[in-house]
Amino acid sequence: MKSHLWQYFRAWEKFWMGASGETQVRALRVLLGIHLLIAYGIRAMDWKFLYSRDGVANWKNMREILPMSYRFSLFEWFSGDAAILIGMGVFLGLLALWCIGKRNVWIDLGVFVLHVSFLHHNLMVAYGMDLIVTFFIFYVLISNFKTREFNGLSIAYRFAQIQVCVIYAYSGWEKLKGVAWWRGEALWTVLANPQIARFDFGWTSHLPMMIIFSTYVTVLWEIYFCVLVWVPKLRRLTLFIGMLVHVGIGVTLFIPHFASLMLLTYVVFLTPAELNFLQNKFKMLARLPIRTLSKP
Amino acid sequence: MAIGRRVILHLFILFQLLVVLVTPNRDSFLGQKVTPFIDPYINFFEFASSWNFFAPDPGPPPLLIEWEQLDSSGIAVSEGHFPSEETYFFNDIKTRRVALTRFFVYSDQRHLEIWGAYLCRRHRDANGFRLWKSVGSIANLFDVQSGKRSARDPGEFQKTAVGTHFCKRDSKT
Repeated sequence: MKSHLWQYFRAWEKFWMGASGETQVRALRVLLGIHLLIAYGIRAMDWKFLYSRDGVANWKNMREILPMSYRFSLFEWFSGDAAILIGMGVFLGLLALWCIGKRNVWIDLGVFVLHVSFLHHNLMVAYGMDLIVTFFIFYVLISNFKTREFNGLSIAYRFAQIQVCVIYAYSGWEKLKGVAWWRGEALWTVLANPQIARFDFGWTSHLPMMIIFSTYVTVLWEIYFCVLVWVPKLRRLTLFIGMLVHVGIGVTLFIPHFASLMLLTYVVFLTPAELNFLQNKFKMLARLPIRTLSKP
Repeated sequence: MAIGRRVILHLFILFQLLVVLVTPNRDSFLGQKVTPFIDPYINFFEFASSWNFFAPDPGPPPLLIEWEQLDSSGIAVSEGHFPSEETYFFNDIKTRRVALTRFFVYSDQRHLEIWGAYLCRRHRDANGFRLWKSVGSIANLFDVQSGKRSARDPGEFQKTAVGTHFCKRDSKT
């Protein structure tokens, strides 16, 4: 009995401490940096409405009405529009450092603190992307810590993988409570919602079987992702279906940042060889315009 | 000492796993038992999310929050609605406005006190605002198929009164 328990403990330790994950976490940081620099750069353009003194978020109001206990923001102590603008500038600057691969615990901590500060300063305009990102920035921060006992990189890598699985699992299970998903018409209610659909998808009403099929594939894939992605022979197919789902979301709905964020988290499921392959392909594509233009 | 650090480390991993696994389902028995202990941690780091994207149903239908600006005699002098029909080059700007609208539609108290106060800050000559929330509908697939309705048509909005927010001095300045 004791030897079995010890075996399980060793397996647990190997899972959490023994994974490499350096390439994946490094890629995650760079891709997150690019993604967040764009997403929060766009959010910064709307700063007056979202965060300024004359904007929709009034800290005193929110503290009285919303469940704000233990939710702090730097802008509670450094209030005023100047502080918001400086905070935004620093935040975007730190994200730019992530984009070029610069890292240390202070940069990562700065990104995390400022991200949470902006989130808490106006929770009303947060949506899925902001909440998901919080976890991955936290894991990137953990990856900085390494001692004899604590391999932060490995722990961060494993938590990032588990986080993606948890997001899909809960999202899928929650869909099982919905009548529209059982009936197969859920995708239609999304495409026919002019507040979230980008274009007129009325033409899809002539393809009801496509809608029903896509609805069921989406919910089944979400529910089983957390198992299938760990099966070596099914990992790539699982990630490929996910890519189709999220590209579809990005193209059809007004939430491209959410779609691209979920896609970039897939790097934690790729091997270093696959990441190097993608990186080389990307470099080749990036050089293509230059090569084409420089041809006689 | 090394063993002690190892134990703390594994306790942290277990704790974070508990947060990640239990927080999205806080209404469960385990969730209700541990929430009082993990709430400060969850709120501090903003790990509170239920991961219910387009779930249980991919609603809600199109939503609007509407208002009438009242003068000192209580007469409506202008009206407006949010989000506006303005199109934005960057989708994120529209997405956050839709998120804000949903936030207010789901709670009349927030709608009255936060949105009402914001309108007062924006319209410094207003005495108050009468507020409504409006809910549209999603076109039926067969209606769209037969051409009776466009998929982009939110239909007739069902308007519900929320209340009146009177501008206070600290809202006006």
